[in-house]
Amino acid sequence: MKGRRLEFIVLIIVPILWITILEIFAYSSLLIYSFWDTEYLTIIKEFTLKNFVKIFTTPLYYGTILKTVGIGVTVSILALILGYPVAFFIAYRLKKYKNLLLLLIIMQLWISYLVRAYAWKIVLGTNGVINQFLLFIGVIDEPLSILLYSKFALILVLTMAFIAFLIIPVYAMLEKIPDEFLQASYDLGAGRFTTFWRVIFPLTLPGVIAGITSVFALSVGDFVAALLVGGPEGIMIGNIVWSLFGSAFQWTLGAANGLVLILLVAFILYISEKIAARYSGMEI
Amino acid sequence: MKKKGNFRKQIVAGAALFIGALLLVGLFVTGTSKAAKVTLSALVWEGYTDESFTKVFLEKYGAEVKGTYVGGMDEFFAKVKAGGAASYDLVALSSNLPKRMIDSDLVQPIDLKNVPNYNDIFEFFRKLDYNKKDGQVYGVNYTWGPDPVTYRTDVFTSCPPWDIFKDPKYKGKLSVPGEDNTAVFQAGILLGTDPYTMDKAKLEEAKKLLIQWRPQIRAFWSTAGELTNLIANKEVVASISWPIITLDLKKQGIPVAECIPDPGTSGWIDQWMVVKGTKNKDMAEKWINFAISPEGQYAVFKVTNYFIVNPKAAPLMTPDEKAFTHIDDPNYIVEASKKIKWWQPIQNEGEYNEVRQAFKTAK
Repeated sequence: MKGRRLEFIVLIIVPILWITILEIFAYSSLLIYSFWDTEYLTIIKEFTLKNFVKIFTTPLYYGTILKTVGIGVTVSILALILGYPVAFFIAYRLKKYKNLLLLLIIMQLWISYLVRAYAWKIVLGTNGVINQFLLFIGVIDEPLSILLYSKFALILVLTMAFIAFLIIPVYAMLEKIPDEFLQASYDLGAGRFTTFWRVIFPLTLPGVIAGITSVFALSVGDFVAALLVGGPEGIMIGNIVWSLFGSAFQWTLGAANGLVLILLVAFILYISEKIAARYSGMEI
Repeated sequence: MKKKGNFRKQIVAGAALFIGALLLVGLFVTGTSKAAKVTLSALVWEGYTDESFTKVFLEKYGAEVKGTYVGGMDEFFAKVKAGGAASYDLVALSSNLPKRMIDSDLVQPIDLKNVPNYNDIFEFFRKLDYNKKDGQVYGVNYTWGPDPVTYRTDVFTSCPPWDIFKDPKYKGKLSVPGEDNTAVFQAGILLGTDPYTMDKAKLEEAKKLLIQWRPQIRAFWSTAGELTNLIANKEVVASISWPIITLDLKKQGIPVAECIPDPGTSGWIDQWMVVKGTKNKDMAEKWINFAISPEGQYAVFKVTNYFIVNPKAAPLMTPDEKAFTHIDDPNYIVEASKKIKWWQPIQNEGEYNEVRQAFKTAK
């Protein structure tokens, strides 16, 4: 009995510490700060809605939050359009190199995100690989500046950085579909397209939603890609929150911005979970 | 049933191992830090803890100086406020921050008995009052310089005027710092007002001017290394910069020069400060004394090309270096002060930041 109790304490202590320090403490201090006010160097610990009024009346804040969500949506859709075919290809068209290709996709996550973002600078820059190639074959007369320090660059880098989080769950769902389902579909006279659209795609929907959700949440919270390749067009709310926590000492306004973003993302996650639940009846 | 018990045992063993490993790491970290010589941690601008001279200090005093370079002015206050003496013993920051550090009780007075070289620095700096409080010195000046314009000489034949920032001819070809308010200060200077005490109305004017600049901005830079790359790769042909950037580019053989277009620019006077609560105050003061010694001053000049504060470094310099730094002329800094508006603490920093962010995010 004594052994059991020790067992229990050891088992429970790690998750409890984890949850209290990293989740409850962190989020509640964010919540509390967002309802306080700052004056020069002191945080005034009195309840106020000032920060939220400011966020919803200043285009700088609400505009950038909306823009950030827009970028997140674009990145998620792009990741789906580019990532789904890759997952499909690995699941159905590859046999011998299936594991190798999966490994390659997972391997990019082993490389620091910062290094990958820097690599894109070399590819997209004025003197970068793409510009040099286009100049060489004579398609353009002078380097394209749209490639780097633009929204285009930001969306591209975010999509490539997080696409693996979509490919992997979609691939897992595709793998789970028994061949008999496809056989049955063909036997009942459905063509390739109908089989995909009526059988395969709905069955992978939970994976698609899980993937899109991860990509969306990761890209909305990002500020590194924005700093490295986004240029003036690519400033995201993360960058603004970062600077509010700097010498401006606007921690309260920064916390409020963070909270609005978290709530917005939580709302979107809630919706996607609802959609996923609607299709969960189709689980195999 | 038996199987389940085994499984549970395995989890317990795993958890115990995990906690054990954590303890071990903890012991290891504290153990090694005790065993090592004194290590000073410093939060500094790029170049201020360059290996070329921290090595000399280590040989002389047996203390290692480990510097963290900031990416922008904003980081000093935030990082010291968050980490305090547990993270840093020393900071080297610019003239806008000492008052804020002192007011927030993040730094402590320096014992000048341990910094005898202080008496050698130009009187101009010893007379400054922004880094002192109640007659006590909190900041020892180290270097100074303007925020000049660095430009590619294959694009501009002479010093470009500030108007290039409004000129569509340079669309997507210029840059300014994005992580501090230098551009807002510059707008204030161009509007003919004191750039550090602008009120809401003046800031609104500054914002309007900056929004005219916006199409010309290719990227906002945050570290010296970043702007060096932008100019070297021809992404940018001119930018508000720092002398260290011009120097780095010249070392790489890139055709660049720097200047201060009329009517002037902002500038900074940097200083070392000791973080409150540090266990290594004596060693930190030794470091400061070393940093402003003729040797330490010449070494930081070689790395950054910034102007220095101790005229006794002159005998170490070549004639060209002496001419460049005006090290023999105590009046030069007084004259420079007429064209350079030194960074100062800002009361309404939040409003300044909003103008900067509006400028950055403008369409």
